[in-house]
Amino acid sequence: MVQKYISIILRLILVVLFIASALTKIMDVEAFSESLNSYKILPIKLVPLFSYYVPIMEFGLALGFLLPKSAKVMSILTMLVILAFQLALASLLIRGIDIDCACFGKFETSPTVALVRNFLILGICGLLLYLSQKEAKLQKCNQE
Amino acid sequence: MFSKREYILVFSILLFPLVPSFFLSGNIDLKNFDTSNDPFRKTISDFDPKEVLWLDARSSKKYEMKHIPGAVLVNAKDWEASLGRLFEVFQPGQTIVVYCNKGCSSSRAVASRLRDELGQENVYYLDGGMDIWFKSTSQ
Repeated sequence: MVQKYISIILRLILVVLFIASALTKIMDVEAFSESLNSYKILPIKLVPLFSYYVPIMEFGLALGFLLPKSAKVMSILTMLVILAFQLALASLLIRGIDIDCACFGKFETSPTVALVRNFLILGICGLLLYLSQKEAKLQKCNQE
Repeated sequence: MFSKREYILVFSILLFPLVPSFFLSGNIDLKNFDTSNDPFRKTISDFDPKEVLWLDARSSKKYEMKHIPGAVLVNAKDWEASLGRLFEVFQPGQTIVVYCNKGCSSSRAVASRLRDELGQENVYYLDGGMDIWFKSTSQ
């Protein structure tokens, strides 16, 4: 029972995080597109597309965590997305590009802080995945 | 590993955003990113560093850590106070060069805003940012 509540709390944390992240980006999409361009990873022509894609996808991730029985797949998907973000942030540090990560729109966050925060999100997803698998096993045992 | 429902969920989250993004992306002007022909983008060799007024467009925290000697902190986040600091040292007609870090676009935005608000054209931004200045002075 306690595990169920922990799982709900973790999911809600992720929902709030991704909605906040998506909203702050989409509210000033031009600024986000400039930051995205500063990463110098995407070809310029793809920057406008990804400036909308990233926040809309983050909104989708938030909604996904609200769906019942979605913890396992959503945790894995979120971990993959966060890993992609981590690679982008790490590339900034390696190339010596010192810009704000643009993770939460205008709110300034250095790539280093963002890397640490993303590891925490990965930890939350890992814990959620563990709890969901434990719950699935328990349900299977009950059915048998 | 996953059920059919889970695969649909994953593909919906990853692929569906492409549709609205494709249509909305037209709202962002690509010209904002292509600075190759921008007359206000200047390299370090275009100026005599002692003759220009350097403006630092980064955050106050980064400014305090390191900045070009004599540079004034002017950023969009704290615009009114920034203008106050600028007017303390600014002489009308003086060439202004705005910089930030390597790969940063805020210097371009600050330079553009200053051109509008000061009504003078010789406000430029430094290609390559502060890193270039320090590299050139250490040589």
